[in-house]
Amino acid sequence: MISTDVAIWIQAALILMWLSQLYKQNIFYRFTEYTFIGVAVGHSTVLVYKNVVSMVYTPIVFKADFLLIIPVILGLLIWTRLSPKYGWVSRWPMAVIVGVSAAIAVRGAIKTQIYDQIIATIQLGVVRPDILSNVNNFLIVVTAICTLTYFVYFKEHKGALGTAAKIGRITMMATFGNTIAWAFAGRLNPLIALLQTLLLDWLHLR
Amino acid sequence: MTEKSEKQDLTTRLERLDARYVYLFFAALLIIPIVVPFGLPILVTSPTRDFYDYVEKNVGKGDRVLIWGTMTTGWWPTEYRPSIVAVSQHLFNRGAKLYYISDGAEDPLLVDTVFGMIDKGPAKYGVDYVSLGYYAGGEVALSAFAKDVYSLVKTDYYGTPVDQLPMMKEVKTAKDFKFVMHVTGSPAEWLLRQYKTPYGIDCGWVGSSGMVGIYMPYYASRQVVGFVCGLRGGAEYETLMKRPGIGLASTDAMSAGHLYFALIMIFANIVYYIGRKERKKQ
Repeated sequence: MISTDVAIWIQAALILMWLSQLYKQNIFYRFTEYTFIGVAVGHSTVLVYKNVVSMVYTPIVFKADFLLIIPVILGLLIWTRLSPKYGWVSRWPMAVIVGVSAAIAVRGAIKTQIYDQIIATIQLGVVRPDILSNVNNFLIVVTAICTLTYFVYFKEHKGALGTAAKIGRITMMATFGNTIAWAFAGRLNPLIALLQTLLLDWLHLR
Repeated sequence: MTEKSEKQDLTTRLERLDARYVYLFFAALLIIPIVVPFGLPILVTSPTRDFYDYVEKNVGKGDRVLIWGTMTTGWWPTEYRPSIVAVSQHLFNRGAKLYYISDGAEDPLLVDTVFGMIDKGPAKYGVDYVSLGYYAGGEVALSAFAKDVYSLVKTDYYGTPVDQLPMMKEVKTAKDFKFVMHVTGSPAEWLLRQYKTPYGIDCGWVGSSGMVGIYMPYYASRQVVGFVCGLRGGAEYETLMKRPGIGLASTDAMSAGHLYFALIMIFANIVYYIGRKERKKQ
Protein backbone atom coordinates (compact mmCIF):
# COMPACT_ATOMS: atom_id res chain seq x y z
CA MET A 1 0.00 0.00 0.00
CA ILE A 2 1.21 3.48 -0.85
CA SER A 3 2.63 5.63 1.99
CA THR A 4 0.33 7.99 3.86
CA ASP A 5 3.21 10.00 5.33
CA VAL A 6 3.11 13.61 4.02
CA ALA A 7 6.90 13.98 4.37
CA ILE A 8 7.47 10.91 2.18
CA TRP A 9 5.04 12.32 -0.41
CA ILE A 10 6.93 15.62 -0.50
CA GLN A 11 10.21 13.72 -0.78
CA ALA A 12 8.85 11.55 -3.61
CA ALA A 13 7.45 14.56 -5.49
CA LEU A 14 10.77 16.40 -5.24
CA ILE A 15 12.67 13.31 -6.45
CA LEU A 16 10.36 12.89 -9.46
CA MET A 17 10.63 16.59 -10.28
CA TRP A 18 14.41 16.35 -10.04
CA LEU A 19 14.58 13.21 -12.19
CA SER A 20 12.48 14.94 -14.89
CA GLN A 21 15.75 16.70 -15.84
CA LEU A 22 16.81 13.42 -17.48
CA TYR A 23 14.15 14.03 -20.12
CA LYS A 24 14.89 17.70 -20.60
CA GLN A 25 15.29 20.99 -18.73
CA ASN A 26 11.99 22.07 -17.20
CA ILE A 27 10.44 24.28 -14.55
CA PHE A 28 9.89 21.39 -12.09
CA TYR A 29 13.58 20.49 -12.11
CA ARG A 30 14.58 24.11 -11.62
CA PHE A 31 12.14 24.39 -8.71
CA THR A 32 13.85 21.49 -6.89
CA GLU A 33 17.28 22.88 -7.71
CA TYR A 34 16.46 26.33 -6.32
CA THR A 35 14.70 24.84 -3.30
CA PHE A 36 17.78 22.77 -2.46
CA ILE A 37 20.13 25.73 -2.83
CA GLY A 38 17.77 27.98 -0.86
CA VAL A 39 17.47 25.54 2.03
CA ALA A 40 21.23 24.92 2.11
CA VAL A 41 22.07 28.63 2.07
CA GLY A 42 19.41 29.38 4.71
CA HIS A 43 20.73 26.70 7.01
CA SER A 44 24.36 27.77 6.54
CA THR A 45 23.44 31.39 7.25
CA VAL A 46 21.81 30.45 10.55
CA LEU A 47 24.84 28.38 11.60
CA VAL A 48 27.30 31.09 10.63
CA TYR A 49 25.21 33.66 12.53
CA LYS A 50 25.27 31.43 15.63
CA ASN A 51 29.05 31.03 15.28
CA VAL A 52 29.54 34.79 14.98
CA VAL A 53 27.42 35.40 18.08
CA SER A 54 29.16 32.75 20.23
CA MET A 55 32.72 33.20 18.95
CA VAL A 56 32.89 36.91 18.17
CA TYR A 57 30.06 39.04 19.57
CA THR A 58 29.84 37.46 23.05
CA PRO A 59 33.62 37.43 23.75
CA ILE A 60 34.06 41.04 22.57
CA VAL A 61 31.00 42.55 24.26
CA PHE A 62 30.78 40.51 27.47
CA LYS A 63 34.38 39.32 28.00
CA ALA A 64 36.26 42.34 26.59
CA ASP A 65 38.36 40.13 24.30
CA PHE A 66 39.24 43.03 21.99
CA LEU A 67 41.90 41.11 20.06
CA LEU A 68 39.03 39.47 18.18
CA ILE A 69 38.35 42.84 16.53
CA ILE A 70 41.32 42.18 14.21
CA PRO A 71 39.81 39.11 12.51
CA VAL A 72 36.45 40.91 12.43
CA ILE A 73 38.02 43.80 10.49
CA LEU A 74 39.81 41.37 8.17
CA GLY A 75 36.53 39.55 7.60
CA LEU A 76 34.69 42.75 6.80
CA LEU A 77 37.42 43.80 4.36
CA ILE A 78 36.55 40.81 2.15
CA TRP A 79 33.30 42.63 1.32
CA THR A 80 35.27 45.37 -0.44
CA ARG A 81 35.44 42.89 -3.33
CA LEU A 82 31.98 44.14 -4.24
CA SER A 83 33.43 47.58 -5.02
CA PRO A 84 35.36 47.95 -8.29
CA LYS A 85 37.30 50.84 -6.77
CA TYR A 86 38.31 49.27 -3.44
CA GLY A 87 38.23 45.59 -4.47
CA TRP A 88 42.02 45.35 -4.13
CA VAL A 89 41.69 45.72 -0.33
CA SER A 90 40.08 42.26 -0.17
CA ARG A 91 43.47 40.78 -1.14
CA TRP A 92 44.79 41.51 2.34
CA PRO A 93 42.40 39.26 4.28
CA MET A 94 42.72 36.66 1.50
CA ALA A 95 46.50 36.78 1.90
CA VAL A 96 46.15 36.17 5.64
CA ILE A 97 43.76 33.24 5.07
CA VAL A 98 45.99 31.63 2.44
CA GLY A 99 49.15 32.29 4.47
CA VAL A 100 47.79 30.82 7.69
CA SER A 101 46.27 27.81 5.90
CA ALA A 102 49.49 27.11 4.01
CA ALA A 103 51.61 27.43 7.15
CA ILE A 104 49.40 25.03 9.08
CA ALA A 105 49.32 22.53 6.21
CA VAL A 106 53.06 22.61 5.51
CA ARG A 107 53.91 21.82 9.14
CA GLY A 108 52.70 18.24 8.82
CA ALA A 109 52.84 17.81 5.05
CA ILE A 110 56.56 17.04 4.74
CA LYS A 111 56.44 14.12 7.15
CA THR A 112 52.93 12.92 6.25
CA GLN A 113 53.00 13.14 2.49
CA ILE A 114 56.69 12.84 1.63
CA TYR A 115 58.87 11.28 4.37
CA ASP A 116 56.42 8.62 5.60
CA GLN A 117 55.47 7.68 2.04
CA ILE A 118 59.12 7.26 0.99
CA ILE A 119 59.93 5.19 4.09
CA ALA A 120 56.88 2.97 3.50
CA THR A 121 57.93 2.39 -0.12
CA ILE A 122 61.53 1.56 0.89
CA GLN A 123 60.27 -0.90 3.51
CA LEU A 124 58.43 -2.76 0.76
CA GLY A 125 61.87 -3.88 -0.47
CA VAL A 126 62.26 -6.13 2.58
CA VAL A 127 61.70 -9.79 1.61
CA ARG A 128 58.72 -11.41 3.35
CA PRO A 129 57.84 -15.11 3.78
CA ASP A 130 54.61 -14.69 1.79
CA ILE A 131 55.32 -14.92 -1.98
CA LEU A 132 52.25 -12.93 -3.04
CA SER A 133 53.18 -10.06 -0.72
CA ASN A 134 56.66 -10.01 -2.28
CA VAL A 135 55.20 -9.86 -5.80
CA ASN A 136 52.82 -7.10 -4.72
CA ASN A 137 55.60 -5.12 -3.02
CA PHE A 138 57.88 -5.57 -6.03
CA LEU A 139 55.17 -4.19 -8.32
CA ILE A 140 54.59 -1.20 -6.02
CA VAL A 141 58.31 -0.34 -5.88
CA VAL A 142 58.81 -0.75 -9.64
CA THR A 143 55.69 1.23 -10.62
CA ALA A 144 56.54 3.98 -8.09
CA ILE A 145 60.02 4.39 -9.61
CA CYS A 146 58.66 4.21 -13.18
CA THR A 147 56.02 6.85 -12.40
CA LEU A 148 58.71 9.16 -11.07
CA THR A 149 60.80 8.66 -14.23
CA TYR A 150 57.84 9.90 -16.30
CA PHE A 151 58.48 13.32 -14.77
CA VAL A 152 62.18 13.38 -15.71
CA TYR A 153 62.37 16.32 -18.10
CA PHE A 154 66.13 16.90 -18.37
CA LYS A 155 66.74 13.76 -20.49
CA GLU A 156 64.89 12.50 -23.54
CA HIS A 157 62.65 9.49 -22.87
CA LYS A 158 64.60 6.92 -24.93
CA GLY A 159 65.88 3.39 -24.23
CA ALA A 160 65.53 2.21 -20.61
CA LEU A 161 64.29 5.61 -19.46
CA GLY A 162 61.66 5.58 -22.22
CA THR A 163 60.43 2.10 -21.21
CA ALA A 164 60.30 3.10 -17.55
CA ALA A 165 58.40 6.30 -18.41
CA LYS A 166 55.94 4.28 -20.50
CA ILE A 167 55.32 1.88 -17.58
CA GLY A 168 54.91 4.97 -15.38
CA ARG A 169 52.31 6.38 -17.75
CA ILE A 170 50.37 3.10 -17.78
CA THR A 171 50.52 3.01 -13.96
CA MET A 172 49.12 6.52 -13.74
CA MET A 173 46.37 5.72 -16.22
CA ALA A 174 45.43 2.64 -14.17
CA THR A 175 45.37 4.79 -11.02
CA PHE A 176 43.19 7.45 -12.65
CA GLY A 177 40.91 4.72 -14.01
CA ASN A 178 40.54 3.30 -10.52
CA THR A 179 39.72 6.75 -9.11
CA ILE A 180 37.16 7.40 -11.85
CA ALA A 181 35.56 3.98 -11.28
CA TRP A 182 35.15 4.77 -7.58
CA ALA A 183 33.85 8.24 -8.40
CA PHE A 184 31.31 6.62 -10.69
CA ALA A 185 30.28 4.30 -7.86
CA GLY A 186 29.82 7.41 -5.74
CA ARG A 187 27.47 8.91 -8.33
CA LEU A 188 25.50 5.70 -8.70
CA ASN A 189 24.83 5.28 -5.00
CA PRO A 190 22.68 8.41 -4.51
CA LEU A 191 20.51 7.25 -7.41
CA ILE A 192 19.95 3.95 -5.61
CA ALA A 193 18.90 5.92 -2.51
CA LEU A 194 16.40 7.94 -4.57
CA LEU A 195 14.92 4.80 -6.11
CA GLN A 196 14.68 3.18 -2.68
CA THR A 197 12.74 6.17 -1.42
CA LEU A 198 10.36 6.01 -4.37
CA LEU A 199 9.89 2.25 -4.53
CA LEU A 200 10.14 1.20 -0.90
CA ASP A 201 9.29 4.19 1.29
CA TRP A 202 6.65 5.73 -0.99
CA LEU A 203 5.14 2.90 -3.05
CA HIS A 204 5.91 0.13 -0.52
CA LEU A 205 6.74 -2.31 -3.33
CA ARG A 206 8.51 -4.65 -0.95
CA MET B 1 22.68 -2.28 -49.42
CA THR B 2 25.96 -4.26 -49.13
CA GLU B 3 26.94 -6.20 -46.01
CA LYS B 4 29.81 -3.79 -45.35
CA SER B 5 27.66 -0.65 -45.48
CA GLU B 6 25.01 -2.36 -43.33
CA LYS B 7 27.70 -3.05 -40.72
CA GLN B 8 28.87 0.54 -40.84
CA ASP B 9 25.33 1.79 -40.65
CA LEU B 10 24.73 -0.29 -37.52
CA THR B 11 27.89 0.90 -35.78
CA THR B 12 27.12 4.53 -36.68
CA ARG B 13 23.61 4.17 -35.30
CA LEU B 14 24.92 2.57 -32.12
CA GLU B 15 27.54 5.30 -31.71
CA ARG B 16 24.84 7.95 -32.05
CA LEU B 17 22.35 6.18 -29.81
CA ASP B 18 20.43 8.60 -27.59
CA ALA B 19 22.02 8.30 -24.14
CA ARG B 20 18.55 8.45 -22.58
CA TYR B 21 17.90 4.85 -23.71
CA VAL B 22 21.03 3.79 -21.85
CA TYR B 23 19.78 5.53 -18.70
CA LEU B 24 16.26 4.15 -19.09
CA PHE B 25 17.53 0.58 -19.25
CA PHE B 26 19.88 1.37 -16.40
CA ALA B 27 16.98 2.60 -14.22
CA ALA B 28 15.01 -0.56 -15.01
CA LEU B 29 18.02 -2.66 -14.07
CA LEU B 30 18.38 -0.89 -10.71
CA ILE B 31 14.68 -1.14 -9.88
CA ILE B 32 14.52 -4.95 -10.08
CA PRO B 33 17.07 -5.77 -7.34
CA ILE B 34 15.64 -3.04 -5.10
CA VAL B 35 12.17 -4.60 -5.26
CA VAL B 36 13.34 -8.22 -5.47
CA PRO B 37 16.81 -8.54 -3.86
CA PHE B 38 19.06 -11.31 -5.16
CA GLY B 39 21.06 -11.59 -1.93
CA LEU B 40 24.45 -11.51 -3.64
CA PRO B 41 27.37 -12.14 -1.25
CA ILE B 42 29.71 -9.26 -0.42
CA LEU B 43 33.46 -9.53 -0.03
CA VAL B 44 34.95 -7.52 2.83
CA THR B 45 38.01 -5.54 1.71
CA SER B 46 41.09 -5.23 3.92
CA PRO B 47 40.81 -1.48 4.74
CA THR B 48 37.30 -2.01 6.15
CA ARG B 49 38.33 -5.18 7.99
CA ASP B 50 41.38 -3.46 9.51
CA PHE B 51 39.23 -0.51 10.61
CA TYR B 52 36.76 -2.88 12.24
CA ASP B 53 39.51 -4.95 13.88
CA TYR B 54 41.16 -1.82 15.23
CA VAL B 55 37.94 -0.65 16.91
CA GLU B 56 37.26 -4.15 18.18
CA LYS B 57 40.72 -4.65 19.69
CA ASN B 58 41.82 -1.16 20.68
CA VAL B 59 38.77 0.95 21.53
CA GLY B 60 37.17 0.10 24.83
CA LYS B 61 34.88 1.51 27.49
CA GLY B 62 35.53 5.17 28.21
CA ASP B 63 38.02 5.67 25.36
CA ARG B 64 37.50 9.05 23.75
CA VAL B 65 36.94 9.10 19.99
CA LEU B 66 36.80 12.28 17.94
CA ILE B 67 34.62 12.16 14.83
CA TRP B 68 35.34 15.12 12.58
CA GLY B 69 32.79 15.52 9.80
CA THR B 70 33.08 17.24 6.45
CA MET B 71 29.98 15.71 4.93
CA THR B 72 27.39 17.07 2.51
CA THR B 73 23.68 16.34 2.29
CA GLY B 74 23.90 15.36 -1.37
CA TRP B 75 26.25 12.48 -0.63
CA TRP B 76 24.65 11.64 2.69
CA PRO B 77 22.00 8.98 1.88
CA THR B 78 24.32 6.37 0.43
CA GLU B 79 27.86 7.67 0.58
CA TYR B 80 28.14 8.53 4.27
CA ARG B 81 25.04 7.30 6.07
CA PRO B 82 25.63 3.51 5.85
CA SER B 83 29.27 3.82 6.94
CA ILE B 84 28.94 6.42 9.69
CA VAL B 85 25.86 4.73 11.16
CA ALA B 86 27.59 1.32 11.23
CA VAL B 87 30.86 2.70 12.63
CA SER B 88 29.06 4.85 15.25
CA GLN B 89 27.02 1.84 16.31
CA HIS B 90 30.19 -0.19 16.69
CA LEU B 91 31.83 2.54 18.77
CA PHE B 92 28.72 2.82 20.98
CA ASN B 93 28.73 -0.96 21.42
CA ARG B 94 32.38 -0.74 22.54
CA GLY B 95 31.42 1.85 25.18
CA ALA B 96 33.55 4.65 23.68
CA LYS B 97 32.84 8.32 24.32
CA LEU B 98 32.04 10.02 21.03
CA TYR B 99 32.77 13.66 20.21
CA TYR B 100 31.15 14.73 16.93
CA ILE B 101 32.31 18.03 15.42
CA SER B 102 32.36 19.36 11.87
CA ASP B 103 33.52 21.93 9.39
CA GLY B 104 30.62 21.17 7.07
CA ALA B 105 27.59 23.37 7.68
CA GLU B 106 25.12 20.53 7.11
CA ASP B 107 26.90 18.03 9.34
CA PRO B 108 25.24 18.79 12.69
CA LEU B 109 21.84 17.94 11.19
CA LEU B 110 23.27 14.72 9.77
CA VAL B 111 24.81 13.86 13.14
CA ASP B 112 21.35 14.26 14.68
CA THR B 113 20.11 11.74 12.11
CA VAL B 114 22.89 9.33 13.15
CA PHE B 115 21.84 9.65 16.79
CA GLY B 116 18.29 8.81 15.76
CA MET B 117 19.30 5.74 13.78
CA ILE B 118 21.51 3.88 16.23
CA ASP B 119 20.92 1.93 19.39
CA LYS B 120 22.69 4.02 21.99
CA GLY B 121 21.94 1.70 24.88
CA PRO B 122 22.45 3.36 28.27
CA ALA B 123 24.62 6.16 26.77
CA LYS B 124 23.64 9.69 27.78
CA TYR B 125 24.07 12.92 25.86
CA GLY B 126 26.84 15.07 27.31
CA VAL B 127 28.24 12.13 29.26
CA ASP B 128 28.90 9.54 26.55
CA TYR B 129 28.35 11.43 23.31
CA VAL B 130 28.15 15.02 22.19
CA SER B 131 27.53 17.03 19.04
CA LEU B 132 29.78 20.08 19.09
CA GLY B 133 28.36 21.64 15.95
CA TYR B 134 29.84 23.42 12.97
CA TYR B 135 33.05 25.45 12.83
CA ALA B 136 34.30 27.13 9.68
CA GLY B 137 37.94 27.00 8.68
CA GLY B 138 38.58 23.47 7.45
CA GLU B 139 42.10 22.34 8.30
CA VAL B 140 42.72 25.48 10.36
CA ALA B 141 39.74 24.61 12.58
CA LEU B 142 40.98 21.03 12.84
CA SER B 143 44.38 22.30 13.93
CA ALA B 144 42.95 24.81 16.43
CA PHE B 145 40.82 22.09 18.04
CA ALA B 146 43.87 19.80 18.32
CA LYS B 147 45.93 22.46 20.11
CA ASP B 148 43.24 23.73 22.44
CA VAL B 149 39.71 22.36 22.34
CA TYR B 150 38.29 25.38 24.17
CA SER B 151 39.88 27.94 21.85
CA LEU B 152 37.43 26.72 19.24
CA VAL B 153 34.46 25.22 21.03
CA LYS B 154 32.42 27.35 23.40
CA THR B 155 29.03 25.63 23.22
CA ASP B 156 27.67 22.40 21.78
CA TYR B 157 25.40 22.38 18.72
CA TYR B 158 22.32 22.97 20.88
CA GLY B 159 23.82 26.01 22.61
CA THR B 160 24.80 24.40 25.93
CA PRO B 161 28.10 25.86 27.23
CA VAL B 162 30.77 23.15 27.05
CA ASP B 163 31.71 23.54 30.73
CA GLN B 164 28.24 22.17 31.57
CA LEU B 165 28.90 18.94 29.66
CA PRO B 166 30.68 16.33 31.86
CA MET B 167 32.52 14.61 29.01
CA MET B 168 34.04 17.89 27.83
CA LYS B 169 35.93 18.21 31.13
CA GLU B 170 38.01 15.19 30.07
CA VAL B 171 39.49 16.78 26.96
CA LYS B 172 41.84 19.71 26.51
CA THR B 173 43.93 18.86 23.45
CA ALA B 174 44.21 16.21 20.74
CA LYS B 175 46.32 14.07 23.08
CA ASP B 176 43.21 13.28 25.13
CA PHE B 177 41.70 11.28 22.28
CA LYS B 178 42.41 7.62 21.67
CA PHE B 179 41.24 7.60 18.06
CA VAL B 180 40.31 10.27 15.53
CA MET B 181 38.32 9.72 12.38
CA HIS B 182 37.45 12.10 9.59
CA VAL B 183 34.18 11.61 7.74
CA THR B 184 34.90 13.30 4.46
CA GLY B 185 34.95 13.54 0.71
CA SER B 186 37.47 16.40 0.81
CA PRO B 187 41.23 16.55 1.46
CA ALA B 188 42.23 13.39 3.24
CA GLU B 189 45.56 14.63 4.51
CA TRP B 190 44.16 17.13 7.02
CA LEU B 191 43.74 14.45 9.63
CA LEU B 192 47.25 13.09 9.22
CA ARG B 193 48.88 16.51 9.12
CA GLN B 194 47.09 17.79 12.23
CA TYR B 195 46.63 14.68 14.41
CA LYS B 196 48.73 11.72 13.30
CA THR B 197 52.04 13.47 12.61
CA PRO B 198 52.15 16.02 15.45
CA TYR B 199 50.41 13.99 18.19
CA GLY B 200 50.80 10.35 17.06
CA ILE B 201 47.10 9.61 17.47
CA ASP B 202 45.59 6.64 15.62
CA CYS B 203 43.52 7.85 12.69
CA GLY B 204 40.92 6.40 10.34
CA TRP B 205 38.63 7.60 7.59
CA VAL B 206 35.00 7.22 6.69
CA GLY B 207 34.69 8.62 3.21
CA SER B 208 32.84 8.74 -0.04
CA SER B 209 33.55 6.12 -2.72
CA GLY B 210 35.66 8.52 -4.74
CA MET B 211 38.18 8.76 -1.89
CA VAL B 212 39.38 5.15 -2.06
CA GLY B 213 42.21 5.92 -4.50
CA ILE B 214 43.32 8.87 -2.38
CA TYR B 215 43.19 6.96 0.92
CA MET B 216 44.97 3.87 -0.34
CA PRO B 217 48.60 5.11 -0.26
CA TYR B 218 48.19 6.21 3.36
CA TYR B 219 46.59 2.91 4.29
CA ALA B 220 49.34 0.95 2.51
CA SER B 221 51.95 2.91 4.47
CA ARG B 222 50.01 2.20 7.71
CA GLN B 223 49.53 5.89 8.43
CA VAL B 224 45.85 5.13 9.04
CA VAL B 225 44.35 2.06 10.67
CA GLY B 226 41.89 1.61 7.81
CA PHE B 227 38.98 3.27 6.07
CA VAL B 228 35.32 2.65 5.31
CA CYS B 229 34.16 4.16 2.04
CA GLY B 230 30.75 4.74 0.54
CA LEU B 231 27.85 2.38 0.30
CA ARG B 232 30.13 -0.56 -0.32
CA GLY B 233 32.19 0.19 2.80
CA GLY B 234 29.01 0.55 4.85
CA ALA B 235 27.74 -2.80 3.57
CA GLU B 236 31.07 -4.43 4.41
CA TYR B 237 31.02 -2.97 7.92
CA GLU B 238 27.45 -4.16 8.43
CA THR B 239 28.57 -7.64 7.34
CA LEU B 240 31.39 -7.60 9.89
CA MET B 241 29.02 -6.43 12.60
CA LYS B 242 26.43 -9.03 11.53
CA ARG B 243 23.87 -6.24 11.62
CA PRO B 244 22.23 -5.71 8.20
CA GLY B 245 21.32 -2.09 7.46
CA ILE B 246 21.02 0.41 4.62
CA GLY B 247 24.33 -0.69 3.12
CA LEU B 248 23.51 -4.36 2.68
CA ALA B 249 19.98 -3.50 1.51
CA SER B 250 21.47 -1.60 -1.45
CA THR B 251 24.32 -3.86 -2.53
CA ASP B 252 22.37 -5.86 -5.13
CA ALA B 253 21.35 -2.70 -6.98
CA MET B 254 24.91 -1.41 -6.66
CA SER B 255 26.36 -4.62 -8.12
CA ALA B 256 23.80 -4.61 -10.97
CA GLY B 257 24.63 -0.99 -11.78
CA HIS B 258 28.38 -1.61 -11.78
CA LEU B 259 28.04 -4.71 -13.95
CA TYR B 260 25.80 -2.89 -16.42
CA PHE B 261 28.22 -0.02 -16.88
CA ALA B 262 31.22 -2.35 -17.12
CA LEU B 263 29.45 -4.22 -19.95
CA ILE B 264 28.37 -0.95 -21.58
CA MET B 265 31.97 0.27 -21.58
CA ILE B 266 33.26 -2.95 -23.18
CA PHE B 267 30.43 -2.93 -25.73
CA ALA B 268 30.93 0.76 -26.58
CA ASN B 269 34.65 0.21 -27.15
CA ILE B 270 33.99 -2.77 -29.43
CA VAL B 271 31.46 -0.72 -31.43
CA TYR B 272 33.89 2.19 -31.64
CA TYR B 273 36.77 0.02 -32.94
CA ILE B 274 34.57 -1.81 -35.47
CA GLY B 275 33.25 1.57 -36.67
CA ARG B 276 36.78 2.99 -36.94
CA LYS B 277 37.97 -0.06 -38.86
CA GLU B 278 35.07 0.25 -41.29
CA ARG B 279 35.68 3.96 -41.80
CA LYS B 280 39.38 3.31 -42.50
CA LYS B 281 38.48 0.70 -45.12
CA GLN B 282 36.41 3.21 -47.08
